[in-house]
Amino acid sequence: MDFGCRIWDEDGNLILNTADYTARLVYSTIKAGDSSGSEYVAEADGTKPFVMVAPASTGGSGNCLTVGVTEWGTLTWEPMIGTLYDPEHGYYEAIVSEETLILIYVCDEKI
Amino acid sequence: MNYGLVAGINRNIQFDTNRKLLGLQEHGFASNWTAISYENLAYYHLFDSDYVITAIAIKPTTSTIALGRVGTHGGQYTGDILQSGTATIEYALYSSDANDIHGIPSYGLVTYNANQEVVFNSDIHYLKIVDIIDVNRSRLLNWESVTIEHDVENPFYIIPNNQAHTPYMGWPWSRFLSLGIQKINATSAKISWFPFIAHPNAPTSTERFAVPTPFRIAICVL
Repeated sequence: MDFGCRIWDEDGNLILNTADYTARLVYSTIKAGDSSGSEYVAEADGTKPFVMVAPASTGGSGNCLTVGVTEWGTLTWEPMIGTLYDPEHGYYEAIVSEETLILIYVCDEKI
Repeated sequence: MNYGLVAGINRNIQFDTNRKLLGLQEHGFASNWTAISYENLAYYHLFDSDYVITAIAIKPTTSTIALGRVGTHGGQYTGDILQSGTATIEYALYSSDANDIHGIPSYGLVTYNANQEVVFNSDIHYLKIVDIIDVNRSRLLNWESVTIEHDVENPFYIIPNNQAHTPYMGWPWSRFLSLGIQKINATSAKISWFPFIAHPNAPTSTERFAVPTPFRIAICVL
């Protein structure tokens, strides 16, 4: 091994090897479920970004915004349209996404 | 910062005191499946954890189409695997809170940041993404399947949450579909749509897609 670090756990399993690319959190935000937009995240520009989402609040439907990030760090999000029901109107189309936690991880940030 | 960090052989930062890593919280095999109502078009395996599920990585089979979905079932920290059949699916659940949840091992390496928070714990398998594949979204919105290829054999895949709702395609009821993944062989897989709900009453005036732009799939290993 010429360069880098190898780390094992207490059972002798190799946890980190020199050729591994870990996912590191560079950006997090919370967006309203009916919102849409885009923004540039400099830390995600050219660093192999990948975006993940999770419901930001409890007790709702659990539906998240539809979210993507480009290779060059542009984050976009838009609401999800689905079907709801109430006794007065029956089934109808509406925004079903709720407040969403957005996390951008990058895999290849260089020293 | 150019010190106090660990870098890989390609000068890629693997961990430092500034960025949180995504840690493995659960690894297992999903074998209990619940049919989705109406026509039993698809099945789900629900996770109900006491931590935030940030990513669900799965190893698909050759016999079904599947994806891991974060949220979608309400409640607090849920997610599921949705698939077109009932094959056993190997999965890995990752959480951004893993460093706060895991105990400190009696042997190994633990590093802390300036606030005494754990930033690396050798008792945790951190998410390793070996490739990210940008799938042709236009083809997906045209209901086509897309084959992806990768160097690593039999990896896990993280598919973004997605769905479509359509009144068309010759079905009497409107249908909800999702993009999932099906294994072709050790180094290739197919991304394609599969229906998971046929609804007799849910209206839709047109095809509606909730597909991220761009649609990117992470190829991962434990």
